[in-house]
Amino acid sequence: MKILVPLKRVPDPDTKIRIKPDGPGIELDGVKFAVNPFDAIALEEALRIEEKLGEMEVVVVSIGGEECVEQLRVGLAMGADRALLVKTSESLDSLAVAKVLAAVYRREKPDFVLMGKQAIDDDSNQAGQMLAAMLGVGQATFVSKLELIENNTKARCGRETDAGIETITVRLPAVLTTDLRLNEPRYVSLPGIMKAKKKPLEEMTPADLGVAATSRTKIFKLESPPKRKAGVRVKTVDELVDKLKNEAKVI
Amino acid sequence: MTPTRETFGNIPPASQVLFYCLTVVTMAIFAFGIWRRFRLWRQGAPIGLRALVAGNCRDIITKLKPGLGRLLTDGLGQKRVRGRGLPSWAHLSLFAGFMMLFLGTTLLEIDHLASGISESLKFHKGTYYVIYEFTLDVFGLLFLAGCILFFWRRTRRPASVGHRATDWYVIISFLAMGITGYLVEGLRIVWQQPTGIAAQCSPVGLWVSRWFSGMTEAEARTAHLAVWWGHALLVFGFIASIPYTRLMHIIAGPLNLFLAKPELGRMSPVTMEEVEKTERIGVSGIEHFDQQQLVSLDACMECGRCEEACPAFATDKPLSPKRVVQDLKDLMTVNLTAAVTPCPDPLPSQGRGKVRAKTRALHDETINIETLWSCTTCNACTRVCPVRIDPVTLLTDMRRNRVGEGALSGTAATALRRMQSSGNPWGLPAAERANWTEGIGAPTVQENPQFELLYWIGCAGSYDRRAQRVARAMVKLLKHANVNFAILGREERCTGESARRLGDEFLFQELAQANIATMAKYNVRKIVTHCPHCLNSLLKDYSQFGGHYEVIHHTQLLRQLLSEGRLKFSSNSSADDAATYHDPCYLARVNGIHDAPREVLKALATGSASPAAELREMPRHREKTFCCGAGGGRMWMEEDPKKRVCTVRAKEALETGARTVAVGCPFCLTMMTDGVAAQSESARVLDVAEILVEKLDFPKAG
Repeated sequence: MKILVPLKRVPDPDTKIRIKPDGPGIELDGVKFAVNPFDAIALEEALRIEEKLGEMEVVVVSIGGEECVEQLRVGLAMGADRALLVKTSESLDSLAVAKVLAAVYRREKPDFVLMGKQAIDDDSNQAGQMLAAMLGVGQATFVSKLELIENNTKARCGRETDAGIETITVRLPAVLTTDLRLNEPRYVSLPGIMKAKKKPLEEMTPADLGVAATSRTKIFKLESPPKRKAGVRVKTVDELVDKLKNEAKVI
Repeated sequence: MTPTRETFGNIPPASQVLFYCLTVVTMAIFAFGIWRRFRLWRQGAPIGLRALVAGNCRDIITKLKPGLGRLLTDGLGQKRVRGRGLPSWAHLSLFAGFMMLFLGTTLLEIDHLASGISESLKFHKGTYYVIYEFTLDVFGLLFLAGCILFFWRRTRRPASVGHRATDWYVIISFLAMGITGYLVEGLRIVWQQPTGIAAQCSPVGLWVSRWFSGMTEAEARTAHLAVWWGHALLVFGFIASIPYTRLMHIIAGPLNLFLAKPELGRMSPVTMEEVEKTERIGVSGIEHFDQQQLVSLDACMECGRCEEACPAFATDKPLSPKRVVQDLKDLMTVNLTAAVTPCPDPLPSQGRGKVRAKTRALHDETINIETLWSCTTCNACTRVCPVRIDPVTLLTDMRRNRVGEGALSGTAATALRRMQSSGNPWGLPAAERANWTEGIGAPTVQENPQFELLYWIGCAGSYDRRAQRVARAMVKLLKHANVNFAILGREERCTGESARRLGDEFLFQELAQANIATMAKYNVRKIVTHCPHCLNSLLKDYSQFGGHYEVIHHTQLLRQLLSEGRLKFSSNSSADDAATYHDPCYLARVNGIHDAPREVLKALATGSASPAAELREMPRHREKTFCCGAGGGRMWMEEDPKKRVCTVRAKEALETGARTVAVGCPFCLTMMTDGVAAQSESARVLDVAEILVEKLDFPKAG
């Protein structure tokens, strides 16, 4: 069995980002990067499946510049067996990413793809769905519970929806995108990353895979959300009710 | 006639020969048993025993002195055995009796050998003899008393005390040894018929001899020989069984006392080179512990004091320090014996020509990962161990491996990730580190380069809203007392204390090196901090990486400022409650700082107008304090709300009747606040500095 896990390099969720004053994009000064947390959850799940089933392979793939090696090493340190870097200097939109991943899929022929439901940088939530459509395989998004059944030919997935947990079964191969509550990814320490340097990491270009990686969307402007106004502290319940009625006019 | 008795009196030469033959056999069994354990211990990581005896005499003495000192105070002085009521008295009594009888027997043998060379060398006579006989007679009673107390205790068997089948053999043979000893003496008196002082110097023996007053000399001689043999066989049995029973602590205990690393709160560093060489970090197999740690496993007597002191055990966590030591000891016996035992029947398929007996894995199979994470590293177990076994370091050494192998996840993993990316476990921007100073102003090292004292804020004081109030109170006090201080501001980073105790040595080292470089830049010499974890780390961890500072706790500084009269508080403050003080583990137990906060609180109480203001002590205080549950990185972990360490401690605090719980640590502040909130009664939980600042005479604004 083989599971393919794409890992995206994103600004660390714990660093505060600032928008560049000139043009779209963020200031990269002092910004640390990390594996997209949803992708880390996907990898953790793949590793847990590997620990349970034994004989199998977890392959991580990243698309981007040389700097993505850092995130692939984290993936290898977590326990992935092999890493692929599809090198491109362009910033790709979801569709382009899906195209590259589809090419990687055809090359690797995994049993299924496990990936984050979205990346925390652009929050598009599209790549997984597009990939499934391109490959013509099933998909389960927002997976918060995953179980392989019927001799690992199907996946029973609990999906988080607004109304509650929906449980569906998809035939493999499929694209499964992971939600926050699926698991808690393991911690990777420095010696782990050092040790992971010995694991295989293969680099290639989109051209090697026979795809043209170009974005069809363009970002024109980024804006910070407006600053939240300071709240008001009320002394009594009556005052609160009064304010809700007359000032906020919500009741 | 000079009072004396003949050694081997009434023992025929044939019996004497047999006796010495049996002595040789016994010693051989004893030596074999010790060797069997010794070859297990030596498989541990070397501790540089050779270096101990290298160099000139003065060097050697300097190196041996601390260990020998511990042998004297903790071993002969039984310092760490004392203070536990009946079991302590039982051990002291048995130990005193045993040591005296052991010494007596040794002297007797020396006398016997000496008199064999020349009759003039015999010293076992006259006044010496009288004192000797009397002393041994009395100490024999102590020995018996100890045996009886232990026998009684073993029938009751408190839950924390371990038990094995051989324990009954040990205790019963000890009792029998004591009894037969007196019988031999009584019967000797019957046939020898000593008079005057020669008889009176053995009061117990004389009393025993009355039981046999009807015997003829010949009958007494026969009985004496028979009982003497019984006594001798019991002693042989005892010596031979030392390495095979609980009695092993007689050997391994003192050995461990000698070798132990006595300082609490100090961990051994690991280098990246070592990791690259061994391809391993921390302890993943029993042989990765060092030789002293392996000896310590054999020193365990299962007295259970560690278990009784353990906050994790008290709150139903899957951890008992005693169990950990015992499980590791079993693993050492199985795995390391297998490692040195060649298999008699090699299987060709194995290829190596040697098949090892079935061994077990250390992690998961022997020590569960939940056990490792349950420890708060409060050091209560290590402090109470009579033979200085250090379960905390055993656990943190194993943690290092688990963290290195990616076995940590959840909230603690998030905290570590944040320390890595943001330099603090809250994951808040470094740029906001000094935001707490807004409105009160605290000079940074750049603004006040001539500072005398660096105020180390720590991550809690910088980012946690509650702990920020402590930092602000301290700044007010420092300014009020005109202390020339500065803070590092945005340049300060997490000390890495919880990272190190959680097992991420290299994250700790990264943070430590950054902080040491920053402090070198500003020429920092003296540091005050309100966080005992930072204090311990700056003091004991940083010195291993070239950061040497004088570090004091804020309560020590406040005590000094009060005594110098630089802080003045008003005595007219209204309604004060009784307060209790919760000692932080890393302050009171690990660094011995417990007087300063009390003196500050007492100064406030005596200065108070309210008679109700007084300092009330909890049953467990000072070095014996009970953890709040946040140490060892537990601050960043979830705890089952049904049984939290802080709830237990908060209950203890409220039971004193105090309505103010004073603390001296931001972690304790969080935990005790949580703990008190879970109780039906209410109390204020405040840092000592906050209590002090409430009472200060500040010049009225405007």
